[in-house]
Amino acid sequence: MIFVDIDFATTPYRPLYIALNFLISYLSLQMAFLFLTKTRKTRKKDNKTMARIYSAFTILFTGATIITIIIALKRYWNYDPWWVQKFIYVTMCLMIFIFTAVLEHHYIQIGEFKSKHFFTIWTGILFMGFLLLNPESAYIWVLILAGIVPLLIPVLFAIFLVTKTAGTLRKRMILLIFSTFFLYIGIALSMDTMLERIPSEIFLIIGMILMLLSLNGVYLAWYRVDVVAEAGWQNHLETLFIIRKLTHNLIYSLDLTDISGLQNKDTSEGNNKKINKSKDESFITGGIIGIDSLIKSISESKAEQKGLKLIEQENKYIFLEHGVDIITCLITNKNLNTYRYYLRTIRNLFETFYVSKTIDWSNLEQSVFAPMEQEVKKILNINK
Amino acid sequence: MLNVEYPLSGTGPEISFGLEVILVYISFQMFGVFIYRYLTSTFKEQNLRNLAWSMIFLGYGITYIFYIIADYFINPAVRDYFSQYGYISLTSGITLYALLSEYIEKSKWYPVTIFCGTFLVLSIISLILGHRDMTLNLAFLAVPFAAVYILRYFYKYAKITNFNKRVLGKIAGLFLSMLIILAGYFFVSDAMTARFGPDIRVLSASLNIIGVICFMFAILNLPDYREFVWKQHLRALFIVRTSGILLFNRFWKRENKENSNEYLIGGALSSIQTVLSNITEETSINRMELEDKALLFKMYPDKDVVGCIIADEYIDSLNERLNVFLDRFDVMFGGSLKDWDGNTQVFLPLESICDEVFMEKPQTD
Repeated sequence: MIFVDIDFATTPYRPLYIALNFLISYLSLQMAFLFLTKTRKTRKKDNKTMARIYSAFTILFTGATIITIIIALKRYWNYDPWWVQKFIYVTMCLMIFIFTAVLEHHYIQIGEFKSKHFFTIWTGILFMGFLLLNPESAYIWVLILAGIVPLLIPVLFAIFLVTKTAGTLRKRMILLIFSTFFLYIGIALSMDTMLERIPSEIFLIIGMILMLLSLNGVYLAWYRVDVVAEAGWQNHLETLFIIRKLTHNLIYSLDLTDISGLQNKDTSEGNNKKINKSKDESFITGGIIGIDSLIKSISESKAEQKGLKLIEQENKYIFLEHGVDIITCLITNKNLNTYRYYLRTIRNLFETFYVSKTIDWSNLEQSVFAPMEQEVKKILNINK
Repeated sequence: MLNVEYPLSGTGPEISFGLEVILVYISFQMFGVFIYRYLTSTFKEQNLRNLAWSMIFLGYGITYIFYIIADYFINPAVRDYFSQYGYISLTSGITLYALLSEYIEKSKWYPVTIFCGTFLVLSIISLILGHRDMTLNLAFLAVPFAAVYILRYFYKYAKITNFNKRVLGKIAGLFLSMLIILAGYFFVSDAMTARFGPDIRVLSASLNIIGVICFMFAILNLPDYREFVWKQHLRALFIVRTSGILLFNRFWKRENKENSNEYLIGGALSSIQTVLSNITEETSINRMELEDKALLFKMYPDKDVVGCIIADEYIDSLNERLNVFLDRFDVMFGGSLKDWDGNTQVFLPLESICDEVFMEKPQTD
């Protein structure tokens, strides 16, 4: 195969390369600022773990900005002292090391990764290798190829976020996975070491455009939403209630305080128990219905079928979704957009299976809802 | 004066070219952000304001595309045309901004739009007649004029918020960023390039980028436009003892006067709190949201007092005003509430405090 030797001084695409390179630098800087803002916001809320994760992203993109600027100086204006190539490798590896260490440590702690700091150790060794090895050495390729392994960490992180999010947020996380994937291809096609191995200049242009588009994708995925907090929605669940509007009966309830050992109290206590069995339940259902109608009357609300949406207390949030005949109600200790999505899905599920059917509600056994337990757990992503 | 050759070349111009590409990108990014807000916002006035801002950034972005083509790529013989397209794009953006702004403000004669529109028509005539200098002069007149008009809007913004410090800081930022953008725009001119050489474009583009980013940061962090029409959304205020006794109330909007007995509402608010505390074991409520209404609460558990605002939607400004009102209430009556004998007449001074905090007289029957 014939490879091209791109001379950046004479190539007719020089202005295009300069423009793309500048835009990539700017977008990296923009990403760094985005995560810096998120770090500051989460630090204000005293959430140190999330602040650390966002700081890792800030470091990653700050490093990327510096590297892209140096690459531009080297390629287009021949700024190429002896240390430049080494600086690029070492900085790139250092920021990946910090990023990997923070992310892996956090996800091992919460039990999502079982990697035992493998990726951190791997990038640490790579960092030492790049630090000690001459960039002109033939062995540098071994390190570059070995550098593919830690690239899995952002992908695993994005997959984890996809599994933990729902609705629009999940779509954004899918965009993040694709963007990360295309970003890697873009970086691979634009690397200096690749330039002598590509058959046409068009590959470099494609690589840079891919980087540009995927950086935009990554930005859109993270823009104006606290993805990490939303992904932790399961940690703040307390109770789910489903109430029949007409009779004020509690038709279903699920204690979510201990998701790992989740048990549906109603069904575990016996399938033959009638709904509305305990005083507490009637108090809760009556209370919610009562509050709903009182508030509608006090505020002169014209939302006929749809009533109360949210009750915010000091450390508790009650989310409500109104259906034709039922109200789904979720008590949590954090206000996250994700809950609304799940609540709607559960409401639709119950309406499809029960409300639309002719049922004698007055004489209904709790066992009727036993099949729903698995469905609800599936919706709420509960494995046990 | 230096003899500058177009298209510009060399290290300095190449860097300024890269920076100007970033500037175009940021302008279009801002255009996209405002268009997105325009398409997704449900609040009509804010919607159009977003569309107005998007026009400014669209005009600015297109202007710089023409400048880049004119100064870095095109044959000097046709350069003038591209420069003029740039000026016309800028004036078009400004005119559209003025048109939408005056429509939002319900202007009777649309004076700024007519003024900017005249500039635009004259610029197009100059282009047809080939008078580049004329178009340039018109653009250089239109830009500061538009800047003054935008500043006037920010002044109004500050005034509506009662010169709130939080908003004033942002508006100062906007003012400063506009000065930086104007300085950057000043240095992009041919006269400045001829005076200081093509490298001045690096300074010009850098100033422009810094200015536009600061502008973007300040404007995107300005409080929601809804905050300034909080009065329109305010319906009622209640101060209730947790036992249900109504201490003070005021209605701003009331659709059904017969049904809304304030004493019953006081009792209802109190019972809601009791029921909720039994459900969630939390004693306080911060807010309740319905599809078309919101209730904002502020509790003084040690003083046995609850403040509640009923509004058409949740607005931060209302929450802040409720806090201010209850703080004033606490200063005045906090000490004597325990020994209160049930005479609601003692709370009469609250009428004046309410007038002051909510800046409005009650609805007269």
